Amino acid sequence: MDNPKTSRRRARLPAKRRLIQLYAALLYNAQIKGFVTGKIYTGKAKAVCVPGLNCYSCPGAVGACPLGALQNALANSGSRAGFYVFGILLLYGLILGRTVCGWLCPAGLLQELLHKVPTFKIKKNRATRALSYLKYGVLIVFAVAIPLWYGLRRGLPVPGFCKYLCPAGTLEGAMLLLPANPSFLSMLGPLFTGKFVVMIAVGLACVFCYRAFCRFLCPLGAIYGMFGRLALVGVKAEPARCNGCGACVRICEMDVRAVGDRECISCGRCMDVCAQKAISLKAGGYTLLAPEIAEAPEAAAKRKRAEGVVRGAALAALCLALLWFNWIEPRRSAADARADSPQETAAPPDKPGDLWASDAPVGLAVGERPADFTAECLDGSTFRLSETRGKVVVINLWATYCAPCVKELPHFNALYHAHAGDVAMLAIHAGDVTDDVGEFLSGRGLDMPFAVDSEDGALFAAVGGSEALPQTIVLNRRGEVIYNQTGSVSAELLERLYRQAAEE
Amino acid sequence: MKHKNKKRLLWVQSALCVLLAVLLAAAAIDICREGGARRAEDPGAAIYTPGNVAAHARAPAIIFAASAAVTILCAVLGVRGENARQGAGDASPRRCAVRAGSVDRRARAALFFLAAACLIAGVCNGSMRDVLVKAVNICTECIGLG
Repeated sequence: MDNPKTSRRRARLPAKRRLIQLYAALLYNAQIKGFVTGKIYTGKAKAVCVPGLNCYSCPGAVGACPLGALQNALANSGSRAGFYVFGILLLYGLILGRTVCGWLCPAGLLQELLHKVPTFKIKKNRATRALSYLKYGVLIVFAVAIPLWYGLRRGLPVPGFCKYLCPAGTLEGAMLLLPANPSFLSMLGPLFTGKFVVMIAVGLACVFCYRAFCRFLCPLGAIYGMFGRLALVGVKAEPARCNGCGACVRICEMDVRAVGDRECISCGRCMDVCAQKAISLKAGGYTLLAPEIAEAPEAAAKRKRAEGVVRGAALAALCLALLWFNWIEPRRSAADARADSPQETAAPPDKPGDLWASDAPVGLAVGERPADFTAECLDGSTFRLSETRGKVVVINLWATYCAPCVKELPHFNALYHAHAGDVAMLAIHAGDVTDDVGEFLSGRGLDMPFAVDSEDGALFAAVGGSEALPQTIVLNRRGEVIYNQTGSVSAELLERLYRQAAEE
Repeated sequence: MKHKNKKRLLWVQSALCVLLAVLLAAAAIDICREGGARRAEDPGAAIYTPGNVAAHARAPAIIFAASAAVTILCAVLGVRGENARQGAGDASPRRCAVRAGSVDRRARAALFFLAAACLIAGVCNGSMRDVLVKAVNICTECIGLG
């Protein structure tokens, strides 16, 4: 019969794991206010990849998604090797392996909660085992081949998995940004519909089948699974104690063939059923969780003290993160911005009548008139908004690392030439530069005026640019905004906007 | 609760979940199809508008509410998903569930050094900055917005 203490400890294990999963999800998404404001975190902490699958476009995310970063690194591999992402994935794989999936992945937590919906459940079987290899195919095709092919052959950064499949991106990135950014609704189209249907299908699969996404589709799980028993932390079994009864594999809802293999997420459920007490959760030589606690009172007290210290430190770290990302850092950034850009408080440079025949208020909403600004173009010319009097003005905000931005540039160039002399055009690259913009544009046959924003984003601020790219702003001949939207535009829409602006 | 009633409740909930998923997917496809037709006539027309989203959300909202009610009822009655807590019921493994053999510590150490070297090289060659730049900007297409 079980020692009552042992039973209590075992009973607490799922709750403990759930708490750690919740803790990780909260820590990855510590910018809580982002969910209300609809603004993503743009601080330096985002250079660090978190171990689990968590979209970096989530309004709460304070770290980067390792899978998104990997695809971006592969897409950029023509210009720069993504050593950092490979290094961080290698490090997480070696230290944690698939323990990340079981304990530190918000997507895993969500799948487990969906599986709690009381329905009939699909047991693991040969078909699910065969399907568990699908994630390696998804990794190769969507997370490696598509970014590499588009990046190297066409110079377009296309993260195949994020763009076509990732349900975390659809839920955390797209859907959580929508409530606070209603203008984003106009961007939605066939791509969103496809991803939404995929997300619904994955969600439904998770209700009936334990961790369906994790088992069959997740490329991050595939990567961590490759580390298998090489990972420092994970569920380990002692072969000397094992009698081969197979109870551990039978109780497991993942498609494992052996404890700690590539499918094992180290959740620790097998520890409860092992009559031989051969299984424990270890970090190298140190036992984190074990079925037996037949220990001396002094050792038990010491362990409890250590657990208390760890819990206290974790709670303090979470509180600090919440304080930092929601109050301290935003205030510091705002103070820095005020100190760096005294022109922000300066009055609009000219009276409305001096620029255009418009008395519209200064602003960037439709019907308003943007304040004057000057941009130094890459070809050496200067673009001054006030000098575009009487012309239709088209401003495009883009970046080399944004695939839809690069894809739509030829449409702007074609419009620029089709209405030469009647259109004043400016394409402004975001202040965050990862490539030589001039070199990137050479050989693409684009000769419209291009400017690169300064690191403090002064040009983007002048035209109301946001973190979302691409963005298009069209002004009529009186200098009033007739269109200001994020999202891709087609050649037909641009032509129509030109005609509308020219006629107004 | 009787086993038969429990099964009935699970059937109802399973059907509601499938129905909800089908309705949501059908609503999205319908909105996209209708909006696509509008956009073919007017390139500036939005495919998803608050009005058509609200119109298509009614039926899924009702099914969602029903599903939530059944979930609460199941929780009150103590009905859990079948097989959810009793293990996967997989056939007994044909071999020992524990694989013998020790991890090559030298290989692990070498990989740790490789990871550290990659991280340092990544900070030096700018690939860490690439991650930051990508993460602080929203690529609308990458998250499925369009």
